[in-house]
Order: sequence, then structure tokens, then C-alpha cells
Amino acid sequence: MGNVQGRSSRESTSPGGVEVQPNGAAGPTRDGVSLQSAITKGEIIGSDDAPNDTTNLAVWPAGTVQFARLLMNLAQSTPNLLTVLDPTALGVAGGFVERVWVRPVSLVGIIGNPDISLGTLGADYDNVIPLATVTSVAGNVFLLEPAGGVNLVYVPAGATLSLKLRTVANATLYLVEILVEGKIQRT
Amino acid sequence: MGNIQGRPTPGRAHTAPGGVGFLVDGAQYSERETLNLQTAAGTRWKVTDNPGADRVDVGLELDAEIELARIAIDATVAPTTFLVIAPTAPQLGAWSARVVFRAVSVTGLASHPTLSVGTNNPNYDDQIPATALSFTGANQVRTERVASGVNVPEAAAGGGEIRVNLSVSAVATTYDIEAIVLGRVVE
Repeated sequence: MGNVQGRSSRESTSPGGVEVQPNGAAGPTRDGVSLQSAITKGEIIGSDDAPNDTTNLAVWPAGTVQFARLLMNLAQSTPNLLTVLDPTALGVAGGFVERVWVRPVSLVGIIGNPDISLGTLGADYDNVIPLATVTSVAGNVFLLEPAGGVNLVYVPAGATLSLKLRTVANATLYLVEILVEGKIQRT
Repeated sequence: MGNIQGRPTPGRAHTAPGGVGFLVDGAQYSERETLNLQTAAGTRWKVTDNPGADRVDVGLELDAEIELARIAIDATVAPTTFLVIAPTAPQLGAWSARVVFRAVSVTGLASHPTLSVGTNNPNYDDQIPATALSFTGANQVRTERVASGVNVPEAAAGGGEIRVNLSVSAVATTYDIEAIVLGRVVE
């Protein structure tokens, strides 16, 4: 790594280099930044875009992440099918679901609760989380998990995973956020 | 990696701004004057320009299950509670999903402690119910988690909080544990 011109830049200038400040505290000025993977554990992916003089940078967490956050009114019959994981659209090899959180936004006039399921293309989209009744209460989150100890569906590129509303809530409004968490495999 | 003079800054006739060299895990990668931060599954870049300090503040937020807190607990002290998180705006709220208790030192054991995790209700047990530990020595771990198919209260920003509750103290010479609380924060 070569010549560092420092931070003289704005007026008559020979700039170069960047000061890296951890959380706003003074740090060293160097003409390069080395991005390092952490053990706990992110994968740093770069791509060099020379024509635009740009380096692209993304960080892929290796753990459980949210890959869909849907706002749905479960008191309405449409849409009754929403894609929650499309590896092809994400440009990744595949992924799988570990849990689903249902987080109420607005619940009004509930007489009957809705049923949902989660799965890949099929009659009922229910091969990851079978038919389950959501019994949301304002201010609470509701957890749905795939069963342990059984084989579940891995979603490779080319396939998609969807959430299906199987029974509409009997309610004036059943507006919830659905947070789908799992593992994305980039390669 | 050498000196990059790059392109002059528009409107600044005497400038010759430089680029920055990027390395990934120590390997020279590129030298560009622009860094493009790209969103990957479960990540959000938070970028704030701070011209007064001549810098750009960059943060990476995770839409994922994260470690909300890691708390050192002397379980032989009188019953007490330990703050995990008190979410604040722009956060909307938070909830725990799992807690891992890790034994650090257990000696002179006569009886075990009881702990729970929850929001600021009287018993702090409405997310992860009270559990009596059974550690007999250091380097043992135990996981307790939110049950599937039930509602658990979310700690709302602006007053809500999550705490670990030591409700029954251990009778022992030492009963030092670490409570690693994992869960979600939503914005």
C-alpha cells in the first residue's frame, strides 16, 4: 500500500486516504481499508465495478436472518398467497425456514382467528409449517415453528416458498406483520 | 497499492481527490473512489453524512435474531432483576426468543437458583417461564426458549423493557452464570 496523502483535500489539495473512525472516535488515516470476516460470523462479499470506479460491498450474516417481512390483513381473502423466499430473486443458492413471528399491528372486532400455512408449491403450501391457527393479541408476538425431528423442505434456487392464508379471520381488521426467519445459503 | 488521484471534485478546480484501496480478509481487492454498500438478506446499511466532521457514519443493522444482552449473574445474591433491553425509537419493540445460561463457577452447592425472562410485569416471566437451573460445575450450558404457538408480550419502545429475573437465589459458595439472551428488535 503506497502513498497516503492524508486529509488535506478541499482547497488546493492532494487528497487521498481515508480516516477510519470506530464509533466516531479518532482513528488512523490510511489509503486502504481491509474488510475482515468475523468469526461470529459474517461473510464479506465484494465486487469490483471498474467502469464506474466503484467497489460494491455486501455483508452476508451466516446465522439466522429475517428474509421476509410481510404486512397482511388476514381478514381479507386477497392476497391469500405470498412468496416469502425466492432464492433466484435473491441471487443465492437456497434457504430454509426456522421460524415465523406474527406481530399484530391493528386488531379490530375479532370473532374468529385465521389459519395459515407455509410451504413450497403444492396443494396446500403446508410442508414447512402445517395448517396453524394464529391467535394474535395486541402487544404480543406469536411464534410458529416447523416441527423438530422431521424432514423439512429446503428451498433451492428455482423453487419458492410461500405463505398461504387458508382461513380468513372473522374480524373487522386483522392487520399483522409476518416475520419469516431462516438461513440463506449464498453458495 | 499506490496513490490514486482519481477524478477531481466537480466545482473544485484545484482538487484531485483520491480513492481508497479495499482489501478483503487481507487480500488486495480494488482501488476505487466510490464504495457501494449493498443490501444482503437480513441486513440494512444505515448511512449518515456528517459534513461538519468531514465523515460519513456507516452502520450495519441486522434483521435477524441477535444477542440482545450477555449478563454476568452472581446467582447467590438476593433475588433481583437484570436489564436485557429497553428499546427506544426508531425501534418499535423487542422480544426474547431464547436464553442460554452458561455456568462460569459453581462450588459449595446446596441448592439451585430459578430464573426467567420477560417484560416488566411483576414476575418477568411472560416470555421465558421460570426455570430452576441444575448446574453442577463450570462450562455447562442450558437453553430455555419461547414456546411455539403461544403469544408472548413485546416490549414496546418508550417504556417497555425485558429483564432476566433471578427469583430464587442459589445456596452455594459460588454460583456464577452468564445469561445470553437472544431475540429480535424491530424497527
